[in-house]
Amino acid sequence: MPFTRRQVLTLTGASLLLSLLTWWPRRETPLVPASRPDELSAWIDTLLPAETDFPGAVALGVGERMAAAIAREPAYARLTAAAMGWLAARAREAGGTTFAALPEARRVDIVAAAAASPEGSTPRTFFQATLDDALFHAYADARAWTGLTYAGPPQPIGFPDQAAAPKSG
Amino acid sequence: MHADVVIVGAGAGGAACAWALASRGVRVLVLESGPWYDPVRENRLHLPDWEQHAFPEGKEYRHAYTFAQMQALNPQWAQLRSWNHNLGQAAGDTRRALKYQHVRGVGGSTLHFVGEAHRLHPAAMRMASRFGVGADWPIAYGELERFYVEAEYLIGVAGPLHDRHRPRSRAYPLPPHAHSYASQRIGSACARLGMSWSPNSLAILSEPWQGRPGCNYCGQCARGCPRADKGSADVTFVAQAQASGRCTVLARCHVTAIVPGDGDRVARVSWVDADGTEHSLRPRALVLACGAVQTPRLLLASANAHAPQGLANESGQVGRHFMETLAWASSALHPDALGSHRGVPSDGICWDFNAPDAIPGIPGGVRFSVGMAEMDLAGPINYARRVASGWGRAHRAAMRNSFGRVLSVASVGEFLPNDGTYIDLDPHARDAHGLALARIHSRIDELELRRLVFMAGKCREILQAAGTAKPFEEFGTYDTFNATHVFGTCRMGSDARHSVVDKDCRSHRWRNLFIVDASVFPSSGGGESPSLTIEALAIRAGAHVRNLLAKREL
Repeated sequence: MPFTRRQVLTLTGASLLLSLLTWWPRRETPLVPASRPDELSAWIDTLLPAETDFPGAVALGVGERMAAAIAREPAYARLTAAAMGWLAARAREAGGTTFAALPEARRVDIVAAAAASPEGSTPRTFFQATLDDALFHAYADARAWTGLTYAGPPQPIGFPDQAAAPKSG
Repeated sequence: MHADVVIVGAGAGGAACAWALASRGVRVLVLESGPWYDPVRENRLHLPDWEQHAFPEGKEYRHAYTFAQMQALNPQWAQLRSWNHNLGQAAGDTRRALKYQHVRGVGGSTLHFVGEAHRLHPAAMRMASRFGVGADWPIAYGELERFYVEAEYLIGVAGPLHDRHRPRSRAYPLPPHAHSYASQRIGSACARLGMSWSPNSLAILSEPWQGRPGCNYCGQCARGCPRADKGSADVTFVAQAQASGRCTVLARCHVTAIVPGDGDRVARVSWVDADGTEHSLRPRALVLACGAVQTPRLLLASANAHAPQGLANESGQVGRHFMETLAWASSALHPDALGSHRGVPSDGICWDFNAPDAIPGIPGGVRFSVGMAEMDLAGPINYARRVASGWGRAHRAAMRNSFGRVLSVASVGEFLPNDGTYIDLDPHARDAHGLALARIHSRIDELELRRLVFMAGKCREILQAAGTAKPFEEFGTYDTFNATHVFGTCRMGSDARHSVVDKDCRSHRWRNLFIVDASVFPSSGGGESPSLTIEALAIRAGAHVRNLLAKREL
C-alpha cells in the first residue's frame, strides 16, 4: 500500500502547519482580541456561500466547529485574532462598521485581497488555513454532497455498480 | 501457560506461522503489543464524516520510532518533487520524514492494506547472481510455490487465470474482480501505449468464501474492512489458528526482554500484559514477526554476555540492508464523469516492467496500478481540499465539475539496499518499558532516483493517453520518506557471515530462534506487495519448526 490517505492528510496538515509556522515568526501585526463570532461566521460564509445545491458552510455548522478548533490551538487563536484586526481595518476602508455588515460583493473583495496577499502574511495564512478547515468540515456533511453524483458514505451499501458508467444527476 | 512455540507479533508473518503450527498440532502462544481491531466500534465508513477518520490512528496502533537526519534534496531531481496545485510543494530543502506506515494490532498492517496478494517475480530472487546488485535469496521461487498456494486458498485470493511471469501449480481460488469503470479507462490508455493491463491478484473476496461475504466495492480497504471480505490476517490466519484450539493470542502484551542463554538458545522471553503484570516463559522455540523495523530493534536491544552485539547479530548484519518503499503517483482530472471513487483500490495492474531487467540500464523492476483510493482521492473532502481550486462559488462549481473524474496512476519499484539505509537503536529515546526505540536511517541513491524518473514518466504518459488534463498532484518518495513495505534488516542467506537467518528462517547461531517477517527478504521485488510472500515464508518456516519439534531437536 504505497499511498494512503494518511500521507496525504499529513501533506495537507503539514502545509497548514507550515503556513502557521512561517506566519508566526514574521508576525508584525499586533495581537488584538478575537472579534465577535459573527465576524468569523461571515468570513466562513463568504469562503463557502450557500447555493441552490449547497446550504453554505455556516448552515452546516462549520462555524462552531472551526471556532472550537481555533480555541483549542493557541497558534491558530493568535492568527485569528490578528486576522480579525486586519479584517476590521479592511471593513472600515470599505465603508462598513464590521466585515459582517458589508454587502456580499464587498466581503468577496476583501477575501480576494486576503487570498492575493503575500505568502506568509497574516491575511494569506488566515485565508489558507480557514478555507482548508471549512472544506474539511463542510464536506463531512451529507447535505454538501447534493449535485456531486456521490452515493456515499461508502458503507453499508458500497458501490456495486463500480464497473459501469456512473449514473448522471 | 503452556506453549511449544512463542510468536511475537500477529501480523501477516506471525499469524501465518501460528496457523501453520497450530493447525498441525503444535501449541502456540502469540504475543501482540497492539489491540484487537473491532470494526463495530472503530470503523466509521457508514457515517457522513468517514473521510475525516483514517484507520484508527491512536498510539495503541502505532509503534514509536525515530528518524535520523534525512538527506538534502538536489535540484537535479526537481521533477521528482511531491506537489499539489492547491497546497504547493510537500518538502523543503531536505527530504521529509513522513511515516513508516504500519499497524500494531492483531492482523498487523494487513488491517489497513489494500489487499494486494502478490507472488515475487522469480528473477527478483536472484538480484546478485543475475543482475550484479543486491543479494540473492537462499531459496528459489519453486521452493516457495506450494506455500503461496496454501496461503492463497486460506485467504481466498481473487486473481486472473493467467500469469506469465510467475509459474503456478494451481489456479487462484476465486475469479478476479471486474475492473472498475475508471480502471477500464486506465487499461485502455495502457493498451494505446502498448502496455498490458491485468486484474490485480487481491486478498479481497470476489465471491463469498468460507463464511465471509464478497466485497461490495466501497474502495476504503485502507480504513479497515468492516465486512471481513478483505483477507487481513486477523480474520483469516488468526481466526483459523484459534479455531484449532491450540493457539492463544494475547493482545496488548509488550515484550520487554528476550534473553540469550547457554547452548546457543534463547533462554527466556518476558512481557508485560495490558494490566501491567509481568510474565516470563522459557520457549522451546521463539518466532519473531514484528516487521523490518521492530524485529531488528528487539534483537539489538537483547544484548547480554552471551550475545554482546545483540541477539543473532554475530555477523553485524541485524538492522542493515533496510529497504523502504520506492513509490510514485500522478493524479489528473478526466473530462468525463467516471465515478472513479468506486471499486477496490488497486484492481488493475501492469507488470510489464516488473522483471529486474525490464528497464534498460536500471536494474530492478517496477509495477503500475490504479491509484485513486490509495491516494485517498475517493471522497468529497479530499476532492474539496486537493482537487477543486478556488473558493466561494467558483470552488463549488469546480466540485460539481470534478467529483468522480480523478484518475491516479501509482507505481512501486525495487529498492536496492545501500549502506546509508538501516535501522539501529536510538541512544536518546526509549519506550515506556525502557527499551531503546528503533531509529530509521534512509538514503535514496542514484539508481533508485533513475528508477523513480522512469516510474514518474510512465505514470504521466498513461494519464495523458487516458485523455486527462495535466496532473494536479504528484507524490513520490524522493522528497518524502513514506514506507508501507519495508524489508531486509534480518536478511536470510546461506552464509552466516553475511546474513542473519538461514533458508528456513532460523538464526544461524541461535537454534530455537526464527524470524518470519519481511526483515528476512534479501530483495524487495519490483513493486510486488509483500504480504503474500511473508505468509508463504512463514508457513514454510512453520513447517520446519514443526518438523524440528517432532524430531525433538528444539
